[in-house]
Amino acid sequence: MIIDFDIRKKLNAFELETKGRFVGGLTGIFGPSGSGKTTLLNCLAGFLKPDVGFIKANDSTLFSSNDRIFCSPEQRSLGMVFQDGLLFPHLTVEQNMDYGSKKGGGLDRGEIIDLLGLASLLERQPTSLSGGEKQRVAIARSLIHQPAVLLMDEPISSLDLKSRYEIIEYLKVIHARFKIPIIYVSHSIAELMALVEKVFVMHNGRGIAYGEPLDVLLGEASREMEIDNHFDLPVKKVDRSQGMAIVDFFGQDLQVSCQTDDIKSRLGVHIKSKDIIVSTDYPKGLSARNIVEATIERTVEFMEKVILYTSVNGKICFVEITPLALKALGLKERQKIYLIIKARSIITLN
Amino acid sequence: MIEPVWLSLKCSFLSAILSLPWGIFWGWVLARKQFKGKLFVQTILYIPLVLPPVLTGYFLLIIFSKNSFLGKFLVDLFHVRFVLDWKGVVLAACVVSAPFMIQMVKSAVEQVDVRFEMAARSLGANFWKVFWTITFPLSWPGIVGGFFLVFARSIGEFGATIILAGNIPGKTQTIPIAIYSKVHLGQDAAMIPLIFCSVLFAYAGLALSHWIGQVKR
Repeated sequence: MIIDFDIRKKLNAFELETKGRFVGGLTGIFGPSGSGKTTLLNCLAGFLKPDVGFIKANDSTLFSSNDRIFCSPEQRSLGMVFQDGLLFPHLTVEQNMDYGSKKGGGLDRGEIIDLLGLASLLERQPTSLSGGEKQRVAIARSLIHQPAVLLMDEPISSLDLKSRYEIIEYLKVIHARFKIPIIYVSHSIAELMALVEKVFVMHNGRGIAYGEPLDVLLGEASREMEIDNHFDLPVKKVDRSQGMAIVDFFGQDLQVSCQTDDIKSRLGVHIKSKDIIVSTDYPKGLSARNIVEATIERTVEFMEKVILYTSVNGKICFVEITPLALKALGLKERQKIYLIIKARSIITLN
Repeated sequence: MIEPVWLSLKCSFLSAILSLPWGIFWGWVLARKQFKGKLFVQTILYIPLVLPPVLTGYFLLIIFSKNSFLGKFLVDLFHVRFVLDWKGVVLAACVVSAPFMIQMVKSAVEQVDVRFEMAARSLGANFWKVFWTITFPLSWPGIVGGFFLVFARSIGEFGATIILAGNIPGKTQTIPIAIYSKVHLGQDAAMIPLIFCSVLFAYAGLALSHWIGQVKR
């Protein structure tokens, strides 16, 4: 599935003017609030009609101002998942899921229920569900309709951290199983790093970059963003008496404090880039439990902060430092450094 | 005594029924659509609320009199006449009270998050499916509340009715018109059952309207 677009849409004082080409897979749309992410998504979905331009999906034209073509949302067969799920409040979970089902067509309903763990929720009313459950039902509802593309508008931004990465894991499973392309709008770098293959970066109503997440995420659009790291890591050892676990951080041990009662074989780990300390020499006499060897791959300098792409055995971990620290330590690309991470500052999501 | 009561109930019920499609259509349009001249259209739709009902009745009389084009057309082709006829009672009540229906539907539809409708459309539902499976089920308390409000208002309709339909006992004499006649004739005792019925219906209609309007969807 290839989506090609070149559109202009004026909405009061805001103007979206952007073109791009999304090719299958998992595509992210990234940008700060007000950058036009949702407007673009609504144009793709058919909820907004651009003033000028065209939108094509594969070879079919969904919108063209020249040829006066405008396909309504119901003709586009694009699934949409909204920020708050938007389950129909007067229908049960099951009725919600079957709302868009096609006679004789569509994806395997039973398998979707299975994959998303919805079997026990079918009879429930949407108001009785948690945020994460609602989103799972909303995803199932869109999938059963067998969309050509699944459009997701910040689908997890109103959930707690744990539910967020649960949904991300579900999305990965779903994408691997059904191969439905996903276009995922988010203003969270960690989310996009964890999920998507390509990112389209927006700023002030314009697309300013498109490419691999690592290459494009830390540009102009991320100037004011908090940058977190999210990893899904194998658990090596659990120390129940201390409430600690050791996870495999790409070949190095990482000690984390966590709820050890229901720990599984893998653990979601969330580290804020601000919570990591950098040292050029191996530090001694530290209370912090984790000292991780890494290499600086790239430095991105903003006015008030510097983001280091550090590589831990090939995996990127973002570290935020001040421009003064960068200067004082004389940090350079390809330099070997040590990341100091307090066990307690690591958020675990089990 | 029973004739005005029966006539009032019948005509008010029909007025409420007839104002349903009109009210749902315009209430939905005003809630969901932006168009040039919307303020003008909305004001015209609501103007019977503030015009003297006598004047509304007078306009209806001019429009539907047998000398007018429309009145002649209706009588010649369908043998339907509104002037000095019980159908005129229904028409007068409907015109005067339909703005209540429009207003109730408009606020009820506005309460429905438009994004539910967007979600339904993204699932392949066309306009009518969205309306019947999403908008209507989520706004019906307001619509049914509007029905009872129109009923209650129609029970009390006087000014437009007496101009258009007149005061013909057994044919167009509704409860308020009967009370009006009895006041003039000084038949105070004969008014009591009519007053009782009038207050009862008005109260019941209004209470039902409020009670249903509160139902949470």
